[in-house]
Amino acid sequence: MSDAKDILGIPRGGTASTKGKKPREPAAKPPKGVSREVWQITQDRQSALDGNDALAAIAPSAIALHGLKDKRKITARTVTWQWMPFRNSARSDGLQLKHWVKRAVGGAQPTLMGTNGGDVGGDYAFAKYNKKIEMFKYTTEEYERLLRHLDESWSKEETDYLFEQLERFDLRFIIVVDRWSFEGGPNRTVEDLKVRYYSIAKVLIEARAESPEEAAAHQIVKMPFNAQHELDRKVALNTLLNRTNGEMKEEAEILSKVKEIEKRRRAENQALLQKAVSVFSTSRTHMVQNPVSIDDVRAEFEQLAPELPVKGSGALKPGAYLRGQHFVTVANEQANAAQGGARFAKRIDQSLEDLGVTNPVMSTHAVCAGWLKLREETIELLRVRKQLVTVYERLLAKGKTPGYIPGMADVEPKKTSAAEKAVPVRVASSGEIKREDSSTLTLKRKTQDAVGGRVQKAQKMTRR
Amino acid sequence: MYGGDEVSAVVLDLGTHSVKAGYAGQDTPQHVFTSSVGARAKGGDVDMTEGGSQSSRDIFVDSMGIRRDEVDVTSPYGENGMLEDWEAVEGIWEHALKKCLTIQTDEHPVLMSEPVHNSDGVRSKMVELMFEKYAPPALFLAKNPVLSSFAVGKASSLVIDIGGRNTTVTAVHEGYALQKSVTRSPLGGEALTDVILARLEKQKVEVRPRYAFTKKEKGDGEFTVKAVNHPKTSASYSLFKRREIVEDLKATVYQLNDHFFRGDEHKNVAGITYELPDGNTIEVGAERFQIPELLFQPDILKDLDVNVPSLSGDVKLKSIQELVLECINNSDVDVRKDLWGNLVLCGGGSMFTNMRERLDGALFDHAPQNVKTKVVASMNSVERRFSTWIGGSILASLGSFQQLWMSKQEYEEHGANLVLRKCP
Repeated sequence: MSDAKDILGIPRGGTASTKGKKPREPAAKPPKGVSREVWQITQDRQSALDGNDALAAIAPSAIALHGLKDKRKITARTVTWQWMPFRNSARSDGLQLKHWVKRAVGGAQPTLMGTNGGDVGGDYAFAKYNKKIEMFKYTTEEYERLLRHLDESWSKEETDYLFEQLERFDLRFIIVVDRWSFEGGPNRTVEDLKVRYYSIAKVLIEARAESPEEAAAHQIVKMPFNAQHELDRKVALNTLLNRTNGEMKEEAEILSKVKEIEKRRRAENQALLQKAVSVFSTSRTHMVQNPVSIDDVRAEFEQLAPELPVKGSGALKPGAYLRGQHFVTVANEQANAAQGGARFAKRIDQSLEDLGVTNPVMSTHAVCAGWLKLREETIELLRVRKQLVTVYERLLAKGKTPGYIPGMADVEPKKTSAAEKAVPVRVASSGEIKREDSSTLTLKRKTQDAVGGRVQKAQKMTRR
Repeated sequence: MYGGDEVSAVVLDLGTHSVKAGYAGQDTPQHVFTSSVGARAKGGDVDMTEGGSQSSRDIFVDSMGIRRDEVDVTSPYGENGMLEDWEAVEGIWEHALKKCLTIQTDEHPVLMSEPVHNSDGVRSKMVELMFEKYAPPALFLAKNPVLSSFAVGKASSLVIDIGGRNTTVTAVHEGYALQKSVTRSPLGGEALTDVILARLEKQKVEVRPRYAFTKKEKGDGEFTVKAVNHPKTSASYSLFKRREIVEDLKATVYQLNDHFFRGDEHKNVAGITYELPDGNTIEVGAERFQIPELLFQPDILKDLDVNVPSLSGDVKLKSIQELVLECINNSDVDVRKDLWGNLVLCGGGSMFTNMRERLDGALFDHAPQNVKTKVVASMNSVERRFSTWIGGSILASLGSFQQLWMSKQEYEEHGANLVLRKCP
């Protein structure tokens, strides 16, 4: 301590430090096993408490360490093992088996080892593991009084047998039912046994309890045994366990096949839909163009209309004539025949202009024939469209909404005499095509198809 | 030993193929010998043997190496897998306790194993015989699958025991065998041996027992083999010796395929040559996969076209996987999950290579989808063959078992039938 103070340069003590030695305290001898330095530290604690010493005792006192680092004492001279008989309190008879017991000869008492087969306090060490499960048991008079008429299918002997087995197997119902062999009794299932036991237990609890609350607090009374629930649960568990791996494999295979088929079908559907949508779209540029030779086209077109119109037509004139003019006359005749009036003729011309087809510039036979045919088909188209509109208006007037039909989005119902507000047409998403007026629809499609095809060819021709 | 207490009990396991005997607390039996005994009718005067036994036959135990005239080889087990020949049983016990273990029987409690389907009559007789003859201080009868289950450290499991005479599959729940779930099949180790022997005979290969010839070395590794004639040898002894040779052949050459065996797969597999004791060599080809496959596909028996007495009969032979499934389905639904997760494989007949993988594969398709199936099989051959004995050794040395013994005093008070109550 003094060395430390020297180093630190702290003046020693308060008064009279250098003069005369302080009568040295009779140095207390350190107890055995404690080294001198350790003892000195603890001895100096008083001054440390005054705050003089930086080295306060942080470590536990040496006295407290006593016993921890002691050298092992030899309590006995020799250790022998003896072959001793022992009593087992868990046994009902007096069987005395023998086992090895550690004994110390001379010296201190024999060490007791509880778990090494040694006898603890005279009794067998393992006897304490003989725990019996807590079970309800009835006396004969309790049976007579309470339980006799609980369940008619159980005789007293059978019930006694049940309780005996339950005690033997510690309430393990599964094993009891496995070993169940009561002569004269029917075959009992696990649920039967459980029902009998728990119903008896319930009656006994209620009878033995001092107050109804105590009885109700017991688990068997609070949650009575529900045999039906158990049966259902077992059936469910059975089905669950019956889903074997083999079945799962088959199911997985079938599912993957189904997925493939679904994918294929969906792809087909998509393709079909694409085609359908493309037909209804106004631009025809994505229609397949088969390269055909121009000669074939011309030949095809030439057959569409004869060189000369049939008899009875006003266009026939004797002598030479200009083909172009001639065909125009035929066309006009055609338009008149369609019974539309001048407005109709104008509409034909309008549609042709919409399609981008002009009157033939070069009046070859093929061109004129094609043009004539085009007009014919346009007339047909217009007529059919008119029909469609009337039907659509009729339906709207009735209050039905036929769904999306291309080109009909802006059709409004005819105003009835009552002048009701028009039912707004539902503009459905594209692709939803109701099958109303399917006949008109298919016809329309057909004509549009044909028209589209011819228009393309005609365009080709005229541009040439 | 934690939880253990040495009372120097003796564990005696009388199996259909071999007898295992030793002290409890050891990890292997000290004495293992065949359970087939030789019996010869006593001729002439009746010997006054020690104890005044009135047997009409001489019983020779564990001395099959010595050929004796007119000695019939019998097994103590009867047709239905339960002990029947009590003279033989006595002889075996005598040999095991007095000659092998050399104990004073009235100082050591005895733990005996019994087949799981043992009838009450047989159990009472065993207890009576043991107490009357040897007077041990205490006795206990434990069921084989329960002991095997304890040997692998499980209280609940499905024990698949491929033994000598038959294969038994039992469900053990919390240390008790569920008797209604037991399924058995005569396809055991001995049946396979018989099939192999029959096939060899069909191929005109003669398996000569060791006593029937002498082999003298001529020099340069050459041997002369001379047949020796012993006309008075019984047919059963000759069969026993030949079976012994074939058992060795079976253990070394025959194995299980690692997946389901199809006849055409192994047509071109190379054969293995095996030299018989008399110097003849035989070559075994695809059959070495075919015959152990009988355990999994009993229908192969028809292809093999052999007549084996123990396997012929009206009862259709069941494969291992069928036995396991039947056993599980006969148990209560609640325990099935535990059974699937603890399939214990034991018994000498299970030592074929790939047995565990085959069983796993065969059961996989039939196992429930959400349950983890696990086949527990020790890799150590000693542990698998003697698992019943080892389980008995564990059980008899437990401290908490010491209260379960049936003591001599109890036997004297209540009679042999007490065993039915005391040993569940």
